[in-house]
Amino acid sequence: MVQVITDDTLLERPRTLRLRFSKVGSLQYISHLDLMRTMTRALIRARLPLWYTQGYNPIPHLVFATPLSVGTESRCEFLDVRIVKNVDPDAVLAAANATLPQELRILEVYYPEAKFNALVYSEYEIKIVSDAITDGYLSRASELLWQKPLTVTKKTKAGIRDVDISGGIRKLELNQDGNSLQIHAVLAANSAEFLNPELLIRILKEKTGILLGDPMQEHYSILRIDDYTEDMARFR
Amino acid sequence: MCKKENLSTVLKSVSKPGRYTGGEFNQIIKKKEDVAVRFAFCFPDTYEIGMSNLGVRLLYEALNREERVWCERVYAPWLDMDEKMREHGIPLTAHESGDVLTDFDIVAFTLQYELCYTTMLHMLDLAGIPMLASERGEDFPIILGGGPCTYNAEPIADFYDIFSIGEGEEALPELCRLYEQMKADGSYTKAEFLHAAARIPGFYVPSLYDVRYNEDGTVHSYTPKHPDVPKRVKKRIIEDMDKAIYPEKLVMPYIETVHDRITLEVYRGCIRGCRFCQAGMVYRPIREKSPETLCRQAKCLYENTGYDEISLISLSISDYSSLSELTDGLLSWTNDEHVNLSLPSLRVDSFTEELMEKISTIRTGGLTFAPEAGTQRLRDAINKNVDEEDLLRAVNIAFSAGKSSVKLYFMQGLPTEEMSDLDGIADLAGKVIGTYYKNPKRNKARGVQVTVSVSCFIPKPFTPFQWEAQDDLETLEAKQEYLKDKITDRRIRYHYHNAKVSRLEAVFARGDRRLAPALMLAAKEGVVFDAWDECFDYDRWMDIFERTGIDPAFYANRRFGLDECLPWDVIDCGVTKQYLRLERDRAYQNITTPSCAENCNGCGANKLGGKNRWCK
Repeated sequence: MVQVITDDTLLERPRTLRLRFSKVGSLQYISHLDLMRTMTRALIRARLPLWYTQGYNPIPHLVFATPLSVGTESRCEFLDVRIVKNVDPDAVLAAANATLPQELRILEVYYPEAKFNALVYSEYEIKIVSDAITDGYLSRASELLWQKPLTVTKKTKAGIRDVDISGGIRKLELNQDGNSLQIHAVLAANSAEFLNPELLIRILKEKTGILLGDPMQEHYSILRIDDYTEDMARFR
Repeated sequence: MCKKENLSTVLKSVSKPGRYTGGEFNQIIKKKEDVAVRFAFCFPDTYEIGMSNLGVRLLYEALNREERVWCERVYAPWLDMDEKMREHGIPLTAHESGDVLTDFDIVAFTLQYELCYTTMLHMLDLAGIPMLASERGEDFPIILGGGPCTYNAEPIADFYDIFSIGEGEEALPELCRLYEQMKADGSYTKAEFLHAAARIPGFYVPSLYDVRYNEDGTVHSYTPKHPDVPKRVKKRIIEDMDKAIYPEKLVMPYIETVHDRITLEVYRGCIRGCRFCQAGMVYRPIREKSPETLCRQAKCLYENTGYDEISLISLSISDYSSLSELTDGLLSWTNDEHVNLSLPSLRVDSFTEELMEKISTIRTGGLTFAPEAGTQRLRDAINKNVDEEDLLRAVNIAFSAGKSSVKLYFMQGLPTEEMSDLDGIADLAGKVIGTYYKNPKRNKARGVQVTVSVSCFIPKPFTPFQWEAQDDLETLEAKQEYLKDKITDRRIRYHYHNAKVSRLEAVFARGDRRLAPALMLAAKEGVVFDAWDECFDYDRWMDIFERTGIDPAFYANRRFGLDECLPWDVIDCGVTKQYLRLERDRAYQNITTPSCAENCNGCGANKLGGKNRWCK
């Protein structure tokens, strides 16, 4: 077992450690809470010196940068964890990966500088395969998704509302290859405004009738590939 | 075989898709070319329930330790997924490899409760495997059954090729070795294999017995078809619990499961001999693990899983002879690591302040005690050797420590029960409330809440009450109403189980092979997940029984003759019929039997051997 602690003395104040990780394959089907539990247990197995909350039912302190929808894969997720002793980030990476399933990989471990609210945009690769994607579909889809306003019915805290999501689209590129549509999008991903890429698919489904056929033949995938700050620098 | 991509749309449309994906940490993946026996371990209920089961976790480890065996897990898809699977022709597959069940050599089901039978048949159907053993040719896998229901597997005998009776950690690998050997030396045919397996201790091959019935419907005889097939199949036990295989790591579910924690099995069997309890009888002789072994296993499991709770599992944890040593050993590190210790199945007479203080989940969680009967007279008859004094003392300890709620388990419909015994339940709950208000150390900021949970008695094979009739449905329901009217104190919450569920359980618990057509018809008509409230349909079952010519009262509500041949007599669980008969007679005289710790009562289980704690 890799020793992750560099210095056994208890820190006066706990520090934050950041992990960048990927979550693909079967992992896309588990919920946010499930992922929280999975990561917590992995970090315990890796012997990370976790900080625990005070009180009746102490639990470790783990925070994810962005919400993770069921059905989305990702190569760029961030997790902050509070620790009570100094650790070697490389050792943590090795120890954690040794105790995680293949589809959940830690890519980088470091002491962070930026806060999570500096993460403003996420970049996605979306692929849709459907029999309804025929010749000329590309222009229909482009026209639809590029319109302003781009309204979608959402259930918000204030009730069911029609919301214009066009402001959350920073970049949008579409490509078609036979019956497959690829969307390359940079969407708002901060707490003030979070544009779920599923909404783009939902719009196409409702307005152009795709993904309504045989579920064994038609499918879509969403992969988050990177995250950015306000000025489109890579978030770290 | 379906590609994962093709399944993604379906998975995204069902609830809790994490149930079906596999890929969990600590799952065991082997190379198909390197193994001789592919073993599919099926749990006939949903993933969340199956993953929590200790038996599956244990046998998964025991089988996979065999180099030439690959054991994989299979669970029942929930209703929404099941519908999609049927609609799109998606077959039932195993989690690790994603292969269909017909690719396996042995498909095994663990049978934990009777109400899972239809789900089990449903899974065979989803896998494209004929339900009846007689309809499966050489090309289909061996269908094997194990678990507590095999103590009377007769209702499902027609669906199985073979049953593993008792503890499977050594028996199942032995069976796999026989299979491999026969396949390798060319002597294998299904019939030859099953005959050879019947010669291994602990394996029951139902097709090798002729069953005859009397005119009155009772069993006449079970006769082995060959002289080398045992008249009675003796269950297998693990001789030395310290040397027995136990997992050092567990497959870690992604989604939340029912018991998402380390379950540490402390010992098997029970010294108490409560007369309604099947588990207490069939897990004898009592065999303990040493505290050293347990502490080592607990630490190992914690380090390999990261779980934050350890549950000490046994039939009666406070009867474990080294409980202090064990809890001290565990507490030396669990508090520091923020791991909770849970001790379910605490007996009232051994609940102490010390335990209360030490055990985190007792400190923070609810307290449950099981007096089972409301009067001392009935408690003596059922041999639940617990005094009112013990109960009140135990709840007082809890109240003094600041707890203001307690749960009490009872049963109704017990043999020799009178209405005054039911009154006793209400009285006892009232006395607990009185005790609360008399306790000066109680939490004065809160009022007390006593929950009374009453289930229906079910006569179970291999208990002194195995011959007893269950009350008929009208009586069970009338008694529930009676108690409801009696309990007027608002501080008492009264819960009772659906009596119709208990009745159906009783039919299958004491059933014979003639129930098979009913099970088959039920499965074919889509009856499934009977153990789930939202799916259970009693009237449908009564209709099915009528259409298959079965009188459920024959099994549930009939008092079986004391000299009758019982369908489960073909199994030997260790405890003798004479002993059960003796205990039954004592029940009717309100005479108690002391625990094994005080006195050996000669139940017969000691003849099975094993390194046991109390047996002479």
